[in-house]
Formats: sequence, structure tokens, C-alpha cells
Amino acid sequence: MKRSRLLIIVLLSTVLLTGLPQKGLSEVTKDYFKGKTITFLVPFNPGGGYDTYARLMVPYIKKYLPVENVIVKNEPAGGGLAAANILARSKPDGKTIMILQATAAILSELAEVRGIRYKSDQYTWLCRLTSSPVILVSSPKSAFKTIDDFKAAQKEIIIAGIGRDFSSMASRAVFEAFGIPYRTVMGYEVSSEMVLAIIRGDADTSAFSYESLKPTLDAKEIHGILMLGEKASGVQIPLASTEAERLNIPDNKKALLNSLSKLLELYRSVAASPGISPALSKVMRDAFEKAINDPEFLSTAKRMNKPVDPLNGIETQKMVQDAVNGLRKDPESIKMIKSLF
Amino acid sequence: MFDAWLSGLASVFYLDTFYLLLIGTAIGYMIGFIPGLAGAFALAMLIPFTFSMEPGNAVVLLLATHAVVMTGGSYSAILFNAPGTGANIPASWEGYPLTQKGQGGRAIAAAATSSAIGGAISGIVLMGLIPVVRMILLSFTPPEFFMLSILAYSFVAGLVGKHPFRALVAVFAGILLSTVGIDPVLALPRFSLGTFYLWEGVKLVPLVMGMFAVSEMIKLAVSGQGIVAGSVKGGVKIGHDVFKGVKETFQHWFLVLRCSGIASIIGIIPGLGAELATFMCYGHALQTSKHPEEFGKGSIEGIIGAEAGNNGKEGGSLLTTLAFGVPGSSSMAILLGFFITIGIVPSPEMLKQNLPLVFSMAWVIIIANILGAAISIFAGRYMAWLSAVRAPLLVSILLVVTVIGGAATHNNLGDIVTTFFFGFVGYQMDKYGYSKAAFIVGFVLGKITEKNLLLSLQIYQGVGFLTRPLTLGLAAIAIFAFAWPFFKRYRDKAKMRGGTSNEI
Repeated sequence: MKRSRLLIIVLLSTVLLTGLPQKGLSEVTKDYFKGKTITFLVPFNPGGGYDTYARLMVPYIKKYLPVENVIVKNEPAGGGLAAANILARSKPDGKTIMILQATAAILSELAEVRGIRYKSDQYTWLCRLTSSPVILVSSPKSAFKTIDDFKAAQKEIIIAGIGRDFSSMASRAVFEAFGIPYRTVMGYEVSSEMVLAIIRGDADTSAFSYESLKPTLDAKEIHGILMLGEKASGVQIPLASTEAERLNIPDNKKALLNSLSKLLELYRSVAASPGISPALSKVMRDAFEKAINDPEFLSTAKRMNKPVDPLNGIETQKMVQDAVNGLRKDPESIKMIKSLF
Repeated sequence: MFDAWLSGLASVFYLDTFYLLLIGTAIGYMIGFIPGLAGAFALAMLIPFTFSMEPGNAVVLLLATHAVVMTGGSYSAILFNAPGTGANIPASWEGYPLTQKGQGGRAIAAAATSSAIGGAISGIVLMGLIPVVRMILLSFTPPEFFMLSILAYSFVAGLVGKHPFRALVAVFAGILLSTVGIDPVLALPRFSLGTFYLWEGVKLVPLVMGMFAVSEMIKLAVSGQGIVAGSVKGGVKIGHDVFKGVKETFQHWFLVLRCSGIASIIGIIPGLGAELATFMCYGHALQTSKHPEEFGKGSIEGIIGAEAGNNGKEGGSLLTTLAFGVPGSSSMAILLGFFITIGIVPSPEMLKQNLPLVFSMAWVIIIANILGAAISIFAGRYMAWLSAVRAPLLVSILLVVTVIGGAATHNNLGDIVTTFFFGFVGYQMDKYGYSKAAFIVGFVLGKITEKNLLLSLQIYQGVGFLTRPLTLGLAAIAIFAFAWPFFKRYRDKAKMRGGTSNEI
């Protein structure tokens, strides 16, 4: 064979061989992350609850995945919408993850809020961090002590809200379910402003996550009327589902409340880009499961008053799937959810 | 109570605690100094480091960092016309002209001293107002906040310059610009031009950098001038007027006191912002000044008032955060999150049960402020030579730093586009005599005004909120404040016409 031809064959083969993928998809190992950096998206500003959880997790993610670094990136634009969209179009290489207010994300998607470019059930869910019941509150100085008081009121009940936020949405869902007339006052910027407004009497009620409001409840500055979600031990506030039975509200409205309660079990969860290969998903989910069950992580989180109720990735994914599918099959609920936005 | 006060002070002076106080002060000052880096950013970056620290020490570090951000910001505002934060804008309006006249040291010293005194007074406020904070907080509702912002407009009405009508147009243009972002009630984006970046609105620091610094550069480029008029030639001892600046602040002690007081009240009320406090104090200084014509051209009183204001609000802000868990700003929100994680859960009971802790926080604020002022003053003596450097060079370097700072925190082109776009706009505004100051005031106050107006209208389902007694009181002050400059001008003109022979 002529020398030049041999050279060409050798060169071409080298190019072809090096151009081929180095590993088959089924050969993703834990070393996959060596030297790589994971971006951990947080859809809120630094210092808030979600941001703190994310930063708390960083050392434990690094412990169980040999990444070079995990960088927390705050992306609060659009109330978290931008971050969710970014995750949706990120490459399925495992390098982009996000902590989500999963309940709100799923509800917004089902309500087809303008600007949404993600599908919650297509994310690769890695784990659930906390579930959190949500409480409907009132001021201890007001006449409203139970849901019956709201029903019996002669005027519209005033609900405080931020804009397109979860607090006012959940309140309105409850009021729609129980058939109580209301009107909203929107424009507050943070939950604590709304709590202050309720204490002052500018507004009558709103809904907040139980864990964040517990100190205010304990200090008797605010009064809990109803709880959405699973029962928390030692808490005296009546459950929405129980009150719904007691007051005989129609089945379709009960279904909405139940879906809402189920979705609250996903409250804070971590997800990765859609379309990640099964092998890579397994590697990531295993690592995250170990991280959030790590005793040191749990004790540090507890010390910092950040409760953790860990659930592994596969079950979280299933929960999201079931919730989304269930709600999609129920056009009445979807209609009600849309009206709430 | 006295022993809590004393033990609070003593606990600050443990060696490792004091060491952290020093570090925090240095970090906060540097972050404040660099435009485009916000105090909240510094705090967020420090939080992961605090996970491994003693909670008490972590508090000291974070508070010290936070307390001096405005002080650092005044430094760059005065020397380079590049306010480190939105609350340092008046300092740049009054301080930079002084720097151009070679009096940079005096301006810096005045800013530093009034910042320190304002901050110290806010620490005292923190300690002293604990019993009444709840009452204040519950009495002020959205109608009052709305009227307070109107009051702020009235205070700065004196900045109109030669073309009052154009200044009015500028204010409203500023308010219009402030509506870019997400509608507070419907949560729909406004004027976002299809981008996510503008969902949060136009950012203040790039806007100001562009409007003031970049437009200056454009002006210089167009005029062909190499050296900004008034930059000091060699041989003049810059920095020796530092002592003069300190002395003048003490001479205006009553102004400092009043501004700290105003700022403290504004600080207690959450959500009003450091910019509102600063502009109100600046406007107040303008209104009560015996030399109002100096404002805009280098009024030391303007600097003193504004800087006492932006530091003076901190104690009140911290008080509300600790008493009710309602953060008044994003820095406070971060601190609040941090307090909760270390088990300090805000409530009036917590305050009463933890007096030594609260007092030591107040002491950290006071001491950090004094240290921050010291940095300014001593650095002022040595760094004021920078103002002799050709301004265009300096401004270019600073612009690069700002762009990098903005890119580092927000990582997008939007800040850079904002800066240069408004540089162009600012240049045009100067050319046609539209007051940039008025525009900025409109922009800064617009959001607060709109939010509280909308909340008030919803709560009271109409304009009934205007009949609230406190609201009416504030409205009366606002009307008086609006009318005063015109009344004074009329009276002065009458005096001149009447001749001095009628003077008693």
C-alpha cells in the first residue's frame, strides 16, 4: 500500500475513533461528575428559606457526588418562572438542578400561566426536601375564630396577597370550596408584610406555610383557622378535609381541596433537567437520597430550624406524575385552578 | 436594664468577636464602595461562612458588614461621582462638585462623620424604642406610607433648578420608568420588552451610573476637553480640609440629629427603603438650609443630611426585623433568615427576654459606624489625591468595575445596556435642561408610591383612606413643604423690593 494512503487511513481512523462517544449511555459511572460543576438554581433571592436550604445541601451533595463544585445561582426573575424555564431548556447532562416550590410550579403550569415554558412532570425529580401544610389564619383580635365565622360574616372577607402568589391562591381555593364571598388586596411584597396587615386589620386572612408561621402562632400573634395538607402532630388547627366533611361541601370542590393538599406534600423539592438518561438519573438520585438522609445534614438543618422530611427521587417523581395526571383528568378542577390565577 | 446595656457592650469586646467586627466593617465598606455590589450581596456571600461559626460571632460579622455599606458608598459617590448604593446619590450630587473644587477631603469627612453619628443614633434608637416599636408599626398603614412618599416628593421639590416645568416632566418620566417590572396587583409584567431581565424593573445603580457618570463622559468626549474643570493641580494639599469637614458636621449638629430622627422613624417602617430615608433627609436639609442655592453645586449640608439619613435608618430597621420579623429591605431579609436559623425568632417577647443580645447588636452598629467613618477619614487624606487624577480615566476605570460588579452578581447584559442607554439619555437631558435629579427622585419613589396607593385603594375600596387622621397630618406637612419654597421666594423678593430700611 502506498505510504500516503496508509497515512490517510490511519488519520481517518483516528479521527473517527476519537469522534465516537467515549462511553455508552449505560456506562455512566459516579466518576461522571469528576471535574464538573453543578449549577443549583434558586428561584428566590439570597437569604430566604429556599436559598438557605440549597446552601445547606451543597456540602452534602459534594460529599456523595464527586463534583468539582456546586454553585448556587439565585434567579428570582418572574417569581421563579425564569428559573423554571431555564431548567426546562437546560442540557440533560446533570449539571443543572433547581430547588422548587413544587406546589406552586405545578399549579401555575396547570393554570397555563403566561410565560410558562416548562412541564413539571418532565423534570427529573431528584428528591423532596419538605412537605409543608399551609394554614389559613386570622387576627386574634378579630371575630373570626373558625371557618364557620367566615361563612357567617355579613361582608366579603378580605384576603391579602402578593400578586400571583401561593398564599392568596390557596386562600381563595379554600373560600371557593366553602362558598364564602371574598375580595382580595394584592400588592404586598413579602409574607411578613401580609401577616402584619392581618394583625393590623387591613386584611382579614391569608394562607402561609405552617413551618414559617409557627413562631408567630406560638406567640399568639396570629390565629390558625384551617390547615391544608397532612395533619401535623400536636397542632390544634382543624384540617380542611375534616371541616369539608363536617360542612358537607360538594364533591367536586372537595376534590380540589384534596388535590391541593396532596400537592403540598411536594412543597420544597429538587429537580434536574428533563430528559436525563436513566443511568445518570440513578446516579444523581442515589447521591441525593444519601445526602438528604445524612445524619449530619439532618442535625444541622434541625439546628437551623429548617425541617427536612426526605423522600427519594423515584417516589417524588411518581408523586408529581400522579398529581399532574390526576388533575389533568379533572377538567372541573383545572377550570377552578385557572380561575384562581 | 443598665446592666444589659453594659453587658451588651462588654460582649462586643471579646477578642474573637471584635476581630470579626473589624473584618465585617472592612468587607461592608469595600462592598459599599463598589457600585453595582449591594450590601445584600455581601451578606448572602457571608452566610455560608457563618454555618461553622458561633452564632453570636456570626451576628457580629454580619451586622458590622451591613452597618457600613452606606459609608463606603458615600466615598465613591463623592470622589468619583459613582454612588455605591442608591442611598448615596445625594452624596454624589453634592460631594462630587466639591471634589471638583478640590474639597474632596472635606466632603468625605463630613459624609463619614454624619454617617457615624447617624448610625450611632440609630443604635441608640434600637435600644430605646423597644417599648414603643409595636405601637409605631401598627399605626402606620399603607395610606400613611403613601403620604410619606408624597412628603418625600415635596421635600425635594426644591431641586427643580431653572426650569420647574421641565423638572416636573422629569419627575413623572422617572415615575413612569419605575413602573417597568411586574404589576404589584395583577402580577403581570409591564414594559418588559419581552425579556425576563426587566421583570424586576430597571436597576437603580446602573441607571444612576449611566445617567450621571456615563453622560459626563459623553459630554467630555463631545466637548473635546481632556481635564474636568476644577481638578486640582499639583501642589495643593488635598485632604487637609478633612478636619474642616468633621468640624462642620458638628457645627450642624441639630441637622444631624433631626435627620437621624427622621431616618429612624422611616427605618422602623418596613418597605420604605434607604433611598426614601436619604432623599427625605436630603430634602429636609435643603428646606431648612440658610444657603439653598448651594444645593446641586456642592452643599456640605446636603451631604450631612443625606448621609446621616442613610445610616440613621439602620437601627430602626433592625428593630422592626427583630420585633416582628418584618424585614424592611433585602439586607434585612437575609439577616432575618439568618436570625431564624440560629434560633432568634423575632417577636416582642424575644426582645424583652434577650435584651443583652439586642443591646450588643446596637453596640456593633455604633462601633462599626465609627470605624467606617475612621476608614473614610484616614483613607480620605491619602486617597483624595485620586481626585486629581484625570476624571475621564477614573470614571472609565470605575465603569469597568461597575460593569464587572454587576456582571458578577447578576450575570447579564441588562445592567450594562441600562448603564449605557441611560448615559445617552442623561446627556440629552442635560442638553435640554431636564433635571436628572428630579428624574431619579421620581424613579426611586415611584414604586413605593404606587404600591401603597394601590393597597390603600383596595383596602378602603376607594379614596376614603385620605380621611385617616395620621394621613391627614402627613398631607398637611406635605402641602406645607411644597408651598414653603415658593412662599420663601416670594417673601425674599418682597424683602428685596421693600428695601433694607424697613428691616428691624
